[in-house]
Amino acid sequence: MNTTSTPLRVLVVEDEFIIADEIASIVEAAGHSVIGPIASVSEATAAVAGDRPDFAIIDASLRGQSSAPLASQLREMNVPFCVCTGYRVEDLRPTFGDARVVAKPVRASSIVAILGAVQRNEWQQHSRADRQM
Amino acid sequence: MTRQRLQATIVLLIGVGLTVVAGWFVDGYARRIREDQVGLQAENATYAVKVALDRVAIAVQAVRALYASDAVTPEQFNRFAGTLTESESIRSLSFYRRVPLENRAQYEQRFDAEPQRTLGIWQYEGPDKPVRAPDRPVFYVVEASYLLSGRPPAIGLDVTSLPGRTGAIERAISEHGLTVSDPTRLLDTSEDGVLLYVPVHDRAGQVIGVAAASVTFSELGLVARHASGVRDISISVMPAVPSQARASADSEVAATAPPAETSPPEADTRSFTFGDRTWLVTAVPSPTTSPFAPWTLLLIVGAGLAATAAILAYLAGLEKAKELTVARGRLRSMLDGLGPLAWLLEADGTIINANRAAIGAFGRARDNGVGKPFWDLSLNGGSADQIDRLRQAVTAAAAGDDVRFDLEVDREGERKVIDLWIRPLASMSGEPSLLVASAVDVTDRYEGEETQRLLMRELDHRMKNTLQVIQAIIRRTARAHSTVPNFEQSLIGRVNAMSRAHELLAQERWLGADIRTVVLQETETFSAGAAITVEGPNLRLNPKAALSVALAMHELGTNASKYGALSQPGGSVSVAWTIERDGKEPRLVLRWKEAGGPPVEQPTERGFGSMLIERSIAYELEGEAVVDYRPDGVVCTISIPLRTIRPFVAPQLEPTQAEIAA
Repeated sequence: MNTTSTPLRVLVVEDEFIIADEIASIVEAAGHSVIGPIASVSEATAAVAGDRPDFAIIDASLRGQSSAPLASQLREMNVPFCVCTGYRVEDLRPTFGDARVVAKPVRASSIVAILGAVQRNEWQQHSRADRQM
Repeated sequence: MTRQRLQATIVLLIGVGLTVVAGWFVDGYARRIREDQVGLQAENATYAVKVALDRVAIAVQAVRALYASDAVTPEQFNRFAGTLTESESIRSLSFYRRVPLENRAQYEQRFDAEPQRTLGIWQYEGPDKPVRAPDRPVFYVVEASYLLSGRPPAIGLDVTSLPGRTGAIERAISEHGLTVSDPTRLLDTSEDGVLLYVPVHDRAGQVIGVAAASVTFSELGLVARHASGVRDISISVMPAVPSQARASADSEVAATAPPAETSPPEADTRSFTFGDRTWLVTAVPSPTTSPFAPWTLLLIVGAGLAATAAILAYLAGLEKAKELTVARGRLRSMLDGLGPLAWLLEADGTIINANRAAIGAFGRARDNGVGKPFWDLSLNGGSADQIDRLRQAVTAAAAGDDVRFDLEVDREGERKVIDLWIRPLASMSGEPSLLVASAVDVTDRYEGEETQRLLMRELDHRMKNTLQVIQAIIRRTARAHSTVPNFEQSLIGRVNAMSRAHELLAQERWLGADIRTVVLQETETFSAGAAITVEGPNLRLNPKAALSVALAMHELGTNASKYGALSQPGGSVSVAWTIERDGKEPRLVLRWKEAGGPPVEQPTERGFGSMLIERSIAYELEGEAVVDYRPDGVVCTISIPLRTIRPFVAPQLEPTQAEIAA
């Protein structure tokens, strides 16, 4: 639906300030707007419920809590998202299913590319079968 | 062992002793019975002999009576003798005429047949060679004779010419009674025997001759054998004794006479008086007549020893059974004392036995699982896969394999992992008939491995996060500094600060760190000694808080070193923290206060450092941080709820129950 020129409203959920700030600045530098960054699961779910984002970049663990409920909520709301985390994909599968995972440390260009794909409607929400264990 | 051996020895001694005594008794008893029996047999034999002799005596007396009454023709005599000898053991009956020498010629007139007609009264000169008897004062001539053998009688023979007879004939006449000849060879039978004589008188009382009967020892022996059953009987007569001496000893059956020298030890000899002689009857019992054959004793001794051996074996068996019971008990105790679980299974997986640990772990309320298939054990929540796996393991073990694997089981709702080992018990035939299953609870090990795995996961995660942070710091630092040396110095400072904090946390296994250690570690890099004072109560920080505080101290210290109190001698910094409980929740309040530095100017643009402090504290710890650039020195106040800095045990990836419910 989105055209290449339409900026995305991107939810950034990350509990480490420096990283959250970095991701937010990358997103903004790419011409998109940032919702957040938000550091806790409860705040994030509340934010999503009130204001549907176009895309979400979420950390897997926030202040010691899993963000899987947030991922479920995003799925239900059909909001595309990626899990940006230092955990290995295999460790996330039990709780995050086949969600796309972006491994930390993530480079600015990767985030920009992902957002571009979402913008062009080329984003695959599910990771490819061969990556599923 | 010693007691056992003593017991065996005692039993052996008693057994052998009893056997010997029993054997001795039985042997004695057998001997006595045998003796009694032999005595009885000898008595019977003697009696039979005596009866036979009495009958012979009657026959002789009958002949005497016959001749005493009248003249008897040979035909009359033969008829008479024939009836007398029918059922008796008499070999011959005869009448000898007493012929004085002066009557010889007259008597010889009666001979009308040869050889008597020619020879007259005759005698033997050799076998079958009759000759005329020489003149003697008195002849005893065979006038009539009945021979059982059927041979012709030796009519006309003078019997005094034969050996052993004369004395007895003379005694019969002189003593008017029955006499017995010496044992002699009987003419008509060629056997040994004796002749019985009684004198024959006429009505006038004159001796006219002698009646005689002959008996053989063999015939008497036959009679005795028939009567007694004793096979070996010998009969003999003692030399004749004078009548005076004989009278006192004349009894029916005399006491046992001294045995003949040739008699075997067991022979029983009886004696009695008949005629003018003592007769001896010796009975030698045949071996079969004894009720106890010699092997009976052997049998008794053998049986006694066998019984002793049996008792010994039984006692040994008892001891062995006791040992077995003790050994079984020990084995049971050992099995029950074992920490690992252990089962004994049939080849088909049926539980035969289980040790206490196994029963405690998997036994049900009432039974211990015995008799049930092994795979039923995990049925409390055991999945079909699990049952299949156990079945296959049992089958493989029954085929001879050692099977070992880790198995997850549900034990009263608790997940446990056991290291299960099923092995065949090698039997004698080589075919495994029983299986041994043993299991060790390795849940702890698994949990340890799980903890290790989680730790590794966290470490990996943290490292990647840190790289991400460093990446961000590099970008920010690079943006803030126009020159490369400044950039480098600043970047290295920040990375080092993070590195030190990581190191400290790593020492504490990422469980947290003490605030004083964190603060001192950073401030010491800026001052040599007393320029910075650190003061505050002990407080544990979680890793995130520790990193934030460390980074804040680094940024503040760097700033103070460059522009503030630490940039010139005399300047000082006070770092103090307290826990304030005034507000709605307890908070850590930490104050960085500089003094003695150059006058502070309000910066026109907030640097990365102060921004980092203020925003990261707020963002990550829900706290507040304010950097106040007072003219007399920078003051930074950091206030954080204790809630967010308390150490937490382990980060969570999986959602909690509450989160799932939400």
